[in-house]
Amino acid sequence: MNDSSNKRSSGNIPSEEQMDGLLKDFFKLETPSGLNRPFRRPVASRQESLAASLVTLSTSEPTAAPRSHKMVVASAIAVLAMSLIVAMKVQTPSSGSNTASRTPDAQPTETAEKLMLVSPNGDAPSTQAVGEDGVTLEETDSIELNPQKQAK
Amino acid sequence: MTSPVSGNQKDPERDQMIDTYYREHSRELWALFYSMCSDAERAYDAVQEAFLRYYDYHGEPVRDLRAWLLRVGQNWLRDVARKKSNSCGLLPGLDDFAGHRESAEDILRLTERQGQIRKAMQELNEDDRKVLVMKYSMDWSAAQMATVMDCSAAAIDMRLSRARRRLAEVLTEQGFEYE
Repeated sequence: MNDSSNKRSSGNIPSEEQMDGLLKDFFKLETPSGLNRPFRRPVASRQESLAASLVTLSTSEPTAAPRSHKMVVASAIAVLAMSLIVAMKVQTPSSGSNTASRTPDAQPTETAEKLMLVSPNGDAPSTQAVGEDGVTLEETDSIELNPQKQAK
Repeated sequence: MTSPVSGNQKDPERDQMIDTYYREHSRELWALFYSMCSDAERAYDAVQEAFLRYYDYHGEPVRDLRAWLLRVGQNWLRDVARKKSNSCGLLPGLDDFAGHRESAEDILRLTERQGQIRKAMQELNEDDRKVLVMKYSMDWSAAQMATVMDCSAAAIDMRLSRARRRLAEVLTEQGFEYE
């Protein structure tokens, strides 16, 4: 294998100079341009963000947990108080007169005594005069209101 | 190549050392990974992955950082190769044409040529690919390559010549049109 045979282009086989140029061009395009740039550290920022999120989690957890705990305790106390009030009211019907007086039978008489009627006939159609001018309620319904003509 | 500091999460000296090392050696690592997988983007991802893992590494001090990064990148490439046999299938290297004045037809033709050469490169063995990548991507001398590959400069020249010829044969078999 001597140099002359290497540099000779035989048939379709290219010469060494051709191959030299071909390979130079090939690797000029093949070599990534990123190799000329400085080293990137995406992992560092990823780590920092991960650490930051962990810090956020670790700081938020202690405050979040008592808050929810307090809410649970407060709502439990409220429910307990409500149920205590209801229980007390249920246990005292015999001693108190308030609940007994609210039975359906007793209600009409009491309300009848307490309520004040506006008209003695209540909802019955009125034929009596309600005002000084002797106009009944039925008559007032049929009155048509028109603008009054002014006397000149 | 030793890393004096390892284990501290926020260590400006260590960060500085990683930056410097990346600037000086990322291209070499890319070339070595490329010679393993023949995929420029995947090799670049392997470089990034190796450096990121070292950045996150907080274990025993690393005695030979280059060997450590190479091992991590190689393992990553193997894992990726196991998961997917082919790359994503997008037209590779199109980003490199951004800002150029080539027409869409020229870009397509160039991309096709790149694909053909890449395919032919895959036909070569890893050592042949390695010398080609070191020579044409990193512009290394035979002496530099000899140090990395643990052989003589003359052997590197022989291997380089053989690799070029073999590549030319594969390209010719594929019907590649030389300009």
